[in-house]
Amino acid sequence: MNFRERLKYLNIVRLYSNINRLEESLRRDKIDKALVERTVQRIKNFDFLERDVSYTLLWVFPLQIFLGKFGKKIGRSVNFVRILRDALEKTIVENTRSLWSSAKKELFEVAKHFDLPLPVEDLTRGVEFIGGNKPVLLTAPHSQAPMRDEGVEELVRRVAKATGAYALISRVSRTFIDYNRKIARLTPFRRIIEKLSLEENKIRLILDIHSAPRSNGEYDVEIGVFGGLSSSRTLVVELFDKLASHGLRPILERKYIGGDIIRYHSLPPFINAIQLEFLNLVKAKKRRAAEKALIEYINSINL
Amino acid sequence: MESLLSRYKFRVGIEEELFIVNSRGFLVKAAEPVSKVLANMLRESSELLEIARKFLFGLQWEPNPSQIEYVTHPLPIEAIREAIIFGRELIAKAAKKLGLLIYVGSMHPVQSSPFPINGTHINISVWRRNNRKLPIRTLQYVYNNIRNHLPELISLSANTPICAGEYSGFMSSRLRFSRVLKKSSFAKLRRMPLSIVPRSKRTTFKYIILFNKPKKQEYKLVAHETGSRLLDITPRGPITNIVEDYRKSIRETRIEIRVFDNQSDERFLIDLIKITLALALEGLHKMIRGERIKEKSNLIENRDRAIRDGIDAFFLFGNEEISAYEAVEEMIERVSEYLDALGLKLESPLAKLQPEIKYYGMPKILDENDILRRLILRGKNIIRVKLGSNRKLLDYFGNEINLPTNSVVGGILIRDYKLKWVGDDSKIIRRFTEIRKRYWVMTTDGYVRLMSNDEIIEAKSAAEYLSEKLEMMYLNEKIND
Repeated sequence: MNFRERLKYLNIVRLYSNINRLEESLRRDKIDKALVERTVQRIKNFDFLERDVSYTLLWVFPLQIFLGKFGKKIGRSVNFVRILRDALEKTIVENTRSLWSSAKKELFEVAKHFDLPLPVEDLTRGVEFIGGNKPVLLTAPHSQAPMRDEGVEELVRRVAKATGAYALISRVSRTFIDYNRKIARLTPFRRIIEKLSLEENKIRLILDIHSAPRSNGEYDVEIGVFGGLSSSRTLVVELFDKLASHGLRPILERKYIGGDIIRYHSLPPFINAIQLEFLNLVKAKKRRAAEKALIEYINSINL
Repeated sequence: MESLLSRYKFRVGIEEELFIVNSRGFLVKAAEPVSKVLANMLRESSELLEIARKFLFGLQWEPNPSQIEYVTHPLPIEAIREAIIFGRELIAKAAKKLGLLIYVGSMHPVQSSPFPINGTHINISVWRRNNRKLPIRTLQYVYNNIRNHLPELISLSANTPICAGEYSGFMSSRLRFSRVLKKSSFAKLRRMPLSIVPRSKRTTFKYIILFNKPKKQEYKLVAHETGSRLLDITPRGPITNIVEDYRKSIRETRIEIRVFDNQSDERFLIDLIKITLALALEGLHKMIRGERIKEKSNLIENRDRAIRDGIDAFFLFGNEEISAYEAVEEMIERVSEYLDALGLKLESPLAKLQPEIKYYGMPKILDENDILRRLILRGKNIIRVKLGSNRKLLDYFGNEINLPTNSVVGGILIRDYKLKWVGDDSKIIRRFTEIRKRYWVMTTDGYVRLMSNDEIIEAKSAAEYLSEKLEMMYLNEKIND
């Protein structure tokens, strides 16, 4: 980490501390004038550091807060500050992890501009949305060849049809745009998730479904919850039980802790997000078991 | 000269990194699947495997998963052209099976801020024909002679004027922004004591103590105090102070030159190799004649000037300034004697002092709106705009909604790109010729394209926007409702 990056990181940590205290004071219905001024000054500092730092803030916080429309439940001051605090918390965890591991330093690797690698017209055709009536959203961001997750599209369609859950299926290969990465936050796929969750309050749980072709002797499905920051514990425990009851062996965060979809869109306990990585989903037996487990899980959970 | 060539022979090895891109010309992080396809292709065809064994030392992926590299064996100069074409074609064929292409440039014109970066590493090795150990002084002369011509070599090869969708102001943005390629220094022979040798950031241990050298002191060729190998030009092998090379065979002794940007046309790359080889021979000739090679004055300054201006630079020689054209012309004239001795001839426009970027021309950047471009560069991309004409809003579900003139739209300013390029058989992208940028505002309901007749009402940075929101909270106003 060079000096500039360290300064950026320190500013984020200090801002988190200020926002945390601001949230506490708002919960007690007392706004400390000095604290707000310090927080505002801390945010303004970002513009003094360098021009690119402004983009760091845009990549850290949900874009919906800059577009200015929220649903009734999370539109009040305390929830606005809570969203800021939650986003900063995840950013710090993500970057602290990279300090002692070889993981990518996400905060410093973000693009400096808001650029799309595909024409907007193509992107708006690149997503299939299935409406629903349950507060659950199933996402299949890698469902288009080449380099697609085999079996996921079919699984998501069947589960959505059987349960009435919302579903988002990618119609663009990840070789053009990977919807599970930061850059994709500007695309319709990710904006629909943000609108459904933050603006319209229609969903409370996001299940991000992936698959890997290889088989593994140890487990059949890997669950990622961003180190526990993306979902409430009860929902994960219930999912574990349901998968196990259908003969699938689940495991928690062996290789993947979760991609950008669950990291960015989660706001527990209001919006929970879980990533599921099924192994060997091409086998009909495994696919049927996964389908039944997910249908039962979605029908049984109380959101 | 003939006696010189009868005693020494030269071998050339190339390491070239390539980008994997999709059919729109943007990077794809697919080194792993492409490598898998490559392995299958080689497994299925014994003919292909035999040719690959003949030319290539290996294929490997780089830290960024959109890069892939081929490394050739040390080959005679006559075989290097075939090896380069084979290496590029082989990776391109594998990428094509996944519907992808390869781009042979050093920096992507858009997805480079400033990384990832590609480069071509040319390795020149000098071998004695009687297979006896190469004297350490030989490598020193070859290294120092090539290093003294770094500004000229950079001005001939620099071809990355665009970084992150903008002209960077440097003819070789790759060398300007690379965090890896440090400046080399003049190589000296030094008696190195057996001591703790720093292995900065290579393994979990920061230092390593070597016990297997029986001599307490021995001569080493030192081009970097701590033995770093990631320099613009480096002597390699067990006779240097580079820790990684201590246990290598003496036959792996070579000079590694990393200053070259990737050349899209093989002819230019081959000619650069020929010039470097001639400089190596000139170094040897100087050694035999008993001439001393001194470090050129202003070398570092001239290197920086070459990175900035390429062939249009002006180099400092003493108190005088001469153009890079003159310096390069003088170098080529001087080494032509050695090229003749090696039986080589420059075949590309480099012979007429035309580097690739001059021969094919700079890529064009077509920007639809300069004001919006500047707002993006300043980070002020939360905007409100009054539309100057009828427009369509593309919503997130693919529907189109008409917006009348004078509608006010607000949101985040974004842009998309269309790239045009020159390439071969829909497999290899050689050069990007045009980069077109379009601007959009992303509202809460969809995207609206911005035109030059729109009026920008206000533009804020993310920090300004958040500050205002929090200050509003203090004034006890409702946020966002």
